[in-house]
Amino acid sequence: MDEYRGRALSLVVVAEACISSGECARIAPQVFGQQAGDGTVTVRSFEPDEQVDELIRRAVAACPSNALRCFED
Amino acid sequence: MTSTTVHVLESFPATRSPGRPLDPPAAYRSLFDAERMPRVLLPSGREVYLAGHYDDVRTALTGPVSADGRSPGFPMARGGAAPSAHALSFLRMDGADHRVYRKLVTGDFTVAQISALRPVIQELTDELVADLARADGPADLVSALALPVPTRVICRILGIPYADREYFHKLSDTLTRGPALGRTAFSAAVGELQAYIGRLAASRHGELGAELGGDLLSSLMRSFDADPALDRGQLSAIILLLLVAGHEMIASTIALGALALMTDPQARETFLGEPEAAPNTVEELLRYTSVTQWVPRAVVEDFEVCGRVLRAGEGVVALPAMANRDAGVFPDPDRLDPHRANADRHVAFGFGPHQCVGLQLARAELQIVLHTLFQAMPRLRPAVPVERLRYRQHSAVYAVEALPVVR
Repeated sequence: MDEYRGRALSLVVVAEACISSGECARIAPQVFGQQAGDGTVTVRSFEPDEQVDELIRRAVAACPSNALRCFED
Repeated sequence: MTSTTVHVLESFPATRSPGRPLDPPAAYRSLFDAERMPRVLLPSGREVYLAGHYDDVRTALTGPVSADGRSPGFPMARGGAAPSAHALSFLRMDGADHRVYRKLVTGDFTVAQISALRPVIQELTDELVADLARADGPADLVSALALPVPTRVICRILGIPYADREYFHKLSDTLTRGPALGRTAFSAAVGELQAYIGRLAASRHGELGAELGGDLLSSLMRSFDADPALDRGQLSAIILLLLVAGHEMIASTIALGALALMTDPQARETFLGEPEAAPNTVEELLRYTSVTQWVPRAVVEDFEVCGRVLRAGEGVVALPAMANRDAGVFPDPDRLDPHRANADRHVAFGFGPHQCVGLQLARAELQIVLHTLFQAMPRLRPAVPVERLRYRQHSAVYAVEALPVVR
């Protein structure tokens, strides 16, 4: 489990729960990527601003396997 | 325990109306008008809950449920014994097993891999659309375009000879029509397809020795050779699953998506006139057509769905087509709206750990095929009255049998 703390929004990534749907990488490609081997989620960069926060919220809502969670601070 | 009326479904999946062929069956709608989670008796004799509200479908599919047909309470559409163990691979596995086998293939369906495949899909599509544009008189959009594109693409990904398509199309038809055909025909088709894939794998070892190619069959063969803990019977089961899922569902959504656009000039105009709205139009078409008819699960631990406790050993069937028309999530749900802000929240690919492995591939194919088709033939229309089209009402994947079109 990895935690990324932002000013307004924090992100938790549970790679063990990821099923490689790629939805996060499709919705917020500036934040999320997929490992080359089996497509498991990676965090490419976490430099949140208001716009990025909104994309992260959408990616979290689209994650089919609860591998992503976010918390408003 | 709450006492509930048990409704009898005469056919399952229920029938969509020929006049509104893309709307969910009226029989479901009247059930859900009366109750949040209706209890129904399937033709197989099993009593199950139906989940049709958007939140309920997501809750049910992410809860403590099993996708394994042998689990107590699993909602069989057909009567008789459960199918042979894991014949459809990770589609019917749970937990750690599901993860191990699914992850053997997910690397080939990432956003980046599919994006790299787009030029190949475009080239195939251009060829087929050019043939279609030269046709005199009506042509069948299913056999001329909707089926060949995904079949060729999945053959290429898997490393299966496209020349064998008639053979596996026939068997795959039997698999997806399963509920209507009965258990024996279903098991025979599974066995025959697995034997076919086994022969392909064996001949590859024979011809190429250690030099396997870059396709998925080869990479799976390497994975299975490298890890003795893996069940070798799963090699053909995985290929079978991807082969069937990889062309049936995409082909159906291409054809029904084209039908939706042909019969809605305003949506078609937006799709063609506003390139930036094209991907969202495809999401809206996925929501609107929802070809996966049902997602069956057995409850393994008591849990709550919208205030109702589902007990271990009970069955629940999620209905993506109903969830995708939930007015609480998609306002004015029966309208095809290319600008719908949350179109991509649909559950046309399912939800939970079993969500469609090929969702990014399906999106890419739909975007490329529909755009290329309507750009080349903006006035394309059905060659027969829409009410006369015939559909696969009771198969696992809803589809139009044939779609005659004229330019």
